[in-house]
Amino acid sequence: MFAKNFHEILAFINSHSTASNFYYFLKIIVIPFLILSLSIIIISLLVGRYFFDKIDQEKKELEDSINDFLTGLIFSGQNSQEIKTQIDQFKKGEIYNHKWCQRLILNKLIHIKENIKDVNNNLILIIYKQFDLHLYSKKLINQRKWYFKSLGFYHYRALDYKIKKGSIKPFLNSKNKYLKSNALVSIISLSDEKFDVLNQYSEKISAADEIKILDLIYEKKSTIPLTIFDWLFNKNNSIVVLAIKLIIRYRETLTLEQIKFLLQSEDALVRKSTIQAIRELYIVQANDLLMSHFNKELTHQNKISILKTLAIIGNKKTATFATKLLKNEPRLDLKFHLVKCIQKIDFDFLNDFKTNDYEEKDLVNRMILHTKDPYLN
Amino acid sequence: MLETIIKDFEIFTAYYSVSYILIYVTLSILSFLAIKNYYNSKYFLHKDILIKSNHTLGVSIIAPAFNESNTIVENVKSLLSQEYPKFEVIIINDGSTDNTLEKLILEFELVLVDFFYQENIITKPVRGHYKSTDPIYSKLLVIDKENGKSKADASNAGINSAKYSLFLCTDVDCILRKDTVAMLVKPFIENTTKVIATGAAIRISNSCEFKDGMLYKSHYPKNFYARFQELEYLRSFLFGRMAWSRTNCLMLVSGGLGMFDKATVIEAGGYWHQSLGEDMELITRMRRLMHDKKEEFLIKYIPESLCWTEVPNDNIIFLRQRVRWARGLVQTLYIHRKLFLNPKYGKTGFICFPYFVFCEFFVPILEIVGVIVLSIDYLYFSINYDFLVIISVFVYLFYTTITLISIYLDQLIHKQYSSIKEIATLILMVFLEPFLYHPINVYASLKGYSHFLVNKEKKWGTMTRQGFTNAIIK
Repeated sequence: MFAKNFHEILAFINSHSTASNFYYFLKIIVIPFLILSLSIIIISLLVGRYFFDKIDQEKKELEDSINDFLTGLIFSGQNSQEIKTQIDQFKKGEIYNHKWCQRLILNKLIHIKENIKDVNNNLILIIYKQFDLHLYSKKLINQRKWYFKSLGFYHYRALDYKIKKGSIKPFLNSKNKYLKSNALVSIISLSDEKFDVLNQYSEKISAADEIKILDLIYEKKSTIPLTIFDWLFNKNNSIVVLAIKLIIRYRETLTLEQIKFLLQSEDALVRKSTIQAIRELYIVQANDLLMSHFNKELTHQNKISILKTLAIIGNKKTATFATKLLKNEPRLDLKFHLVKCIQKIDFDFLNDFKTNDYEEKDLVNRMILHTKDPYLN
Repeated sequence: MLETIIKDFEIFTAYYSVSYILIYVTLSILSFLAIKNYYNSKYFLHKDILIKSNHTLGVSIIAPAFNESNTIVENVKSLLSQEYPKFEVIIINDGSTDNTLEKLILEFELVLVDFFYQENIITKPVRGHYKSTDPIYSKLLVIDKENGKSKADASNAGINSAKYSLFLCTDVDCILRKDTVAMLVKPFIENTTKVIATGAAIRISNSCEFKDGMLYKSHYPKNFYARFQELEYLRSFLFGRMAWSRTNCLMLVSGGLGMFDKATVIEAGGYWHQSLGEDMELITRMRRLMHDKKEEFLIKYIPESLCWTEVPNDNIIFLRQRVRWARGLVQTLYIHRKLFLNPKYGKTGFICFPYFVFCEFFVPILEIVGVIVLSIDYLYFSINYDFLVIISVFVYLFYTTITLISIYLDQLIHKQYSSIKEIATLILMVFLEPFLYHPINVYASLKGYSHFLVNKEKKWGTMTRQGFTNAIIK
């Protein structure tokens, strides 16, 4: 068989005709290769599924016993020595040698930590270390691939393993955006002075990071950074935006000087966050400042945002200001928000809205009806 | 003379086939890398964080309905059960002639409201907007409009009424996974470059089991057409679109499931109601707009099965759908022919558009010409049967390998289907598909092209649905 194929290969090499070369190339190399590949894929599909179903069943059974075991350890009030002995006993079992078993225990531990209130964190860390799972996390961080490292960071972060903060720090300078982001969030999470790392952070904080950091604040119930108001003057605009969001979260307030400074920023996102802060923190003193900023504002979205804020903090003067704008505003959505703003300040303000343009009158009336509809607001 | 033409055609076909195969090998590598990259970075921003965040982006779910009274109530409830903090559901009753609207009014306690409708995209007249008096359904908005004879017109009315900056377009009969909005919104938040659209895999629901409007158990379809369409969907979503997503060359985000940046869609003019492939046409127009504005953009696909839809399971409806798709393809390529190899349009002009011309549009034509040439060879000249057999076996094996790789990737990720027996059936179908299903598709494509050429009157027809409530819940 081999000899026959060998001769065919030789014949193929010695041949001079392109079509003939192609024919032999397909017959001797490509088709057998494809048949082999197909067979491998089919076998992998069937065998893989068979073993998956089998392991899945085993996993389900084991999951229950791990749940019972871990719950017993955490809530039975045993001392650390007793816990260690029990874990050592468990580790002698055959099933523990499976890698997926260790991963399962780790995931369960994280699940308990994240979902059960006031669970003793020291106890969780004792279990984590006694199972040698900290070595597994360390091994992941030492891997070359960034996603293994990120998984290791996640273990430290989820279990509040503060002692390992130092091993994450070097990755703040990583070129990989995912790794850098995960390192930043992990360090913020593991530091006692949560946001110190941001004081000197010069990179742009993405929207995803912002959401993750804000989530951490909710989770960890940490205190507001002492230097938060200095951040408003940071050269890194993403830090400024984050600072504004933190100020909103902690229900602090902004002074008129700070607002004035922030509204002069070239970054539209900084201006937008400032306008939002005025609304959320109900800073009524900023009413005049916002009205004067309205015509200077460059982006359409921010103009709409100003009107939403004025609707909350505005007064009669604001309503008059908006009515003047209403008559000359050609953009429909802005006009609609002007009407909304006026209506929210004074429900009857537009009752005597006068214009000779019938179409304009009809348009404004339709807008008013929308704002008055109880199911739409 | 005839012999020369036939010889030239054969040489052309040989080069074409080699290029086609190389393209597919490249796509398979790109697809694998894209899927790997997705799963490696899946937890960069965990969906659970998004689900509980107040700082995420709002999404309007838009679902047009035409004569869907059998399933409308269950489907709306399913759409309303999305796990996401900031969303609304907009159902557009596109002039249904049955009692779709009445059912909605009764079930959700709807009342007519004074909605200020801004017609950013021109649509058929809107008769009214409805909101529920029950606070539980405060996220629901129903639009009643005159029938526009297209899903595009209804979707546009939904876009005009949407309050959030992103919208998710789906069909009202689609069953969405509970985290669909969260999963599709992620690329918009994670990327620093502007994302204009995202999409994900759609699966076939024909034999699946559903409970409380959610997928309970997935089964491989039992119907002839549905079985092969499952293969086709797998190949298309996991294989093709993931690869195109990696190179930012996606020209199609399915009408059944796609999330879009509302401002860009409105600027591009919304869905074109005259189009028979309005989803592809919209993406092409959005790409064109972004190139014209010289703005960087991304269109992302994720390899998650987020949506289940019922596909045609009889000959007539299947053929009608495929003829429409083929006509939609040629229509879009014709309208946007300016893009073809135009340096101004970058990747769109040099990669995506030519791919659709050469590897999608041309294939059915070449196949039929190939059959004709083979017949002429048989009648007037000679055929090298050895070569014919080898080349046919090669093409067949290559085709099945590509499909099997898609199934392998799907099994690796999703572990879809409830038993090993179903997977074995699926594998068997892979080997039958080129003989039983592919010729029907080629016929439908050629018919679609001919309808475009003779400008035959456009007809949408109706899709008869089995529905999820009556037949599938077990």
